[in-house]
Amino acid sequence: MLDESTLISNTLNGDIQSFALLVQAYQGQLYNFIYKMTKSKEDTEDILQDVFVKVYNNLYKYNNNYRFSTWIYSITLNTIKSSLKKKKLRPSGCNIDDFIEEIPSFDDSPELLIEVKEHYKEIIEIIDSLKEKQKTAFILRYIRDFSYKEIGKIMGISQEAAKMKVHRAKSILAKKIAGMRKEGDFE
Amino acid sequence: MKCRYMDYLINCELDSLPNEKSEKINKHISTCMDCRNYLGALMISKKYIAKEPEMDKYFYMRVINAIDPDRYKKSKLTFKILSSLERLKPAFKASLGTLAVFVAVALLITGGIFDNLGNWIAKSSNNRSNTGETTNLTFLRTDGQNIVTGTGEIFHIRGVTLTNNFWGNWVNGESEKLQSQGMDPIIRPLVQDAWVLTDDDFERIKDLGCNTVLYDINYQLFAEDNPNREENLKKLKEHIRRFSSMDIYTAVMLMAPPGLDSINDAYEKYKHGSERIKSVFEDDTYYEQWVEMWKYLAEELKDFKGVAGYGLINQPRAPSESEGGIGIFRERLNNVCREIRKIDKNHIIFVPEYNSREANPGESYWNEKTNSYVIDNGEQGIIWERGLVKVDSSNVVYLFHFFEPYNFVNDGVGDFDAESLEAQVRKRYEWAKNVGRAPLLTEYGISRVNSVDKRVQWLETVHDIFDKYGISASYFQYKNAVGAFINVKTGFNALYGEYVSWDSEIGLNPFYFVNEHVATSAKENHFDEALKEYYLKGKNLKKISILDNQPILETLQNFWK
Repeated sequence: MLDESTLISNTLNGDIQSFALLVQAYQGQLYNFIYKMTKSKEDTEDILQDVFVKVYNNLYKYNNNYRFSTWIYSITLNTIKSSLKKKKLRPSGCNIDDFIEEIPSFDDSPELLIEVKEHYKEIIEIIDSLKEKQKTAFILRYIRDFSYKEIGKIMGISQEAAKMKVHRAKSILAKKIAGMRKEGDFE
Repeated sequence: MKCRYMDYLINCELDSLPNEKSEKINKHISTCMDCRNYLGALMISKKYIAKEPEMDKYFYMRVINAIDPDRYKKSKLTFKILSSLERLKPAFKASLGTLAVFVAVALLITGGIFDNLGNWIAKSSNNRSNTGETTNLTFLRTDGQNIVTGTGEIFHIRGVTLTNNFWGNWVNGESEKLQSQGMDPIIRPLVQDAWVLTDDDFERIKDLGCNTVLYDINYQLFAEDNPNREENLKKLKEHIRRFSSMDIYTAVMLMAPPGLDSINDAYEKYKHGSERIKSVFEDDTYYEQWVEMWKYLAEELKDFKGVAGYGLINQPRAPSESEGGIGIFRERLNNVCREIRKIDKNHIIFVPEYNSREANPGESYWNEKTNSYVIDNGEQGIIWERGLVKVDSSNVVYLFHFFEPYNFVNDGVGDFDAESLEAQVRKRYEWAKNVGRAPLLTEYGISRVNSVDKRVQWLETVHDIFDKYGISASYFQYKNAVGAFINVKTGFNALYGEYVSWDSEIGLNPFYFVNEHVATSAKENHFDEALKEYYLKGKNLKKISILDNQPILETLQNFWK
């Protein structure tokens, strides 16, 4: 496959096939991002289509001194926000079984694995209960390994603020997990 | 009390820790439950976030259909200037005065004096290919006795035929009238039936492993006076794009031309030549309609890389000498090729052999009414003789049908022998070699009247022959409708059968045929057995089935590899 900058330049020269390849390269990860943010399968495709139409219509504005991924995630985040403002999304929840195979293997702590499976849903609920900006920063940090600087750029905040939001999200995760244990849910 | 390691764990980037620190953490979490639980939750969170849910792989096509493909062609210059201005935004911020000047310049450029230049650029770029295809396919062409890709690699068509119900349907009122007049009662469609190519079909065809589909059409879909012509074209293009995106070529094959075609011939062949529906080789109006349709399609499809080529006509019949004979047959094939070539220099044209010819007075022919040979007395009896005719156009592939021996393949009578089959293919191969080294394409298949083992045996035999002579081949056919009125044994060689008319023929829970007539027909056509075996699953109806064709599919897939 051609590199991103060639695909962008070809698209700007009228080559639709290059744009289709760009869409193919990003559709999976952006679908994931939107779905994790909205929890609505029904709305995710509509938002994603809006994102790509905006990306196409504004591609001439893209400054190649910056990473394309940062730019496209920034458009995606703004589109999610405006969709949330415009209408009530229809959360469909997620099927835990879809993620079970992704649980890491702790060879030396099999009992932990069993416990974690049982509390998988609670962990996802903790993520979903984070404040919007904390959740966004936390998801961006792990969805594509964005640096804090890039997260800041996508969210329109400083690098330090982005780092703080991820830190806060992790602290809440730690606190809530510990809290569950004290309530007797864990071990 | 909170563990003193916890803040450290929250702050650090666990993936980039040096080994000694990782070891320390591992040692710690073996004894600290809070930290262990936190790290477990963090790892699961990461996996959860990174895990991409299932989505429609062809989503990008929805996007492509939603955008304006000409956006960056119309005003390239404008966008280049706007793009430059975007990059200069930070500098503009430094000086509002400068900004005002730049905005004024931008307005002048984009809205004024460069419009003509912009229009000129737009016009030049509009000549370039813009089919909306997303594909790795390149234009196919002929090179000696081979079909090759745009990069010169030899390409054997290993395809499957999509008949698309081109023959049409029984239309109440109209069909009875035609039947009472001794005419073919089936009405050719003006719009392709929705069931013939569904999303599920695209997925299924993608998984088959073929590299080409022979996509059958009937003239009426693209006739000048069909009000649905533009819509039909849109659908055809959409289907080509979908196949292109799977890197599958589409050969557009005209199966039912205006006038006589292979379906209405079942009624016409018994009639005196003077009463029979004329073919495009005999009737000037039909001929002009035929040419017009191909000119229209060639204009619209000329830039599609996913189009393998155009199949001019199916199983044509050469007229008797009194109507021009083989000479007019060749002349009109040449003319239609020439008209297509004026518009489209890229695509292959598939030129068929004549499937039969009308007898001349004094010649003997097999009379199907009397079941005997008779001497023609001007009635233009049908002689089932076949022959390839050279045309003068470039980029031509000759097409022949291979359902041999006829009685065995279609009716399960007798057997086949490999030598005789090879001799028939070799004869055509030598002919094509001698007329200027042209490639060949064959369409072939075998009826379910034969046992699965026999069908596999026949297929393996013909596949070996096609491979030996480097002949392109398409299996006839992918899918057909099944139902109480279609003989599921003798008239059926499709890989898949779809029970399209189920709601007018049966009821469910409990199962019943809607009336005696349907029940009787289902029995006569062996459909009642097929229904029980392949379509009724408990209380549910499965609308599409591969029947007992899995070994057939596997044999085809071995060939397609």
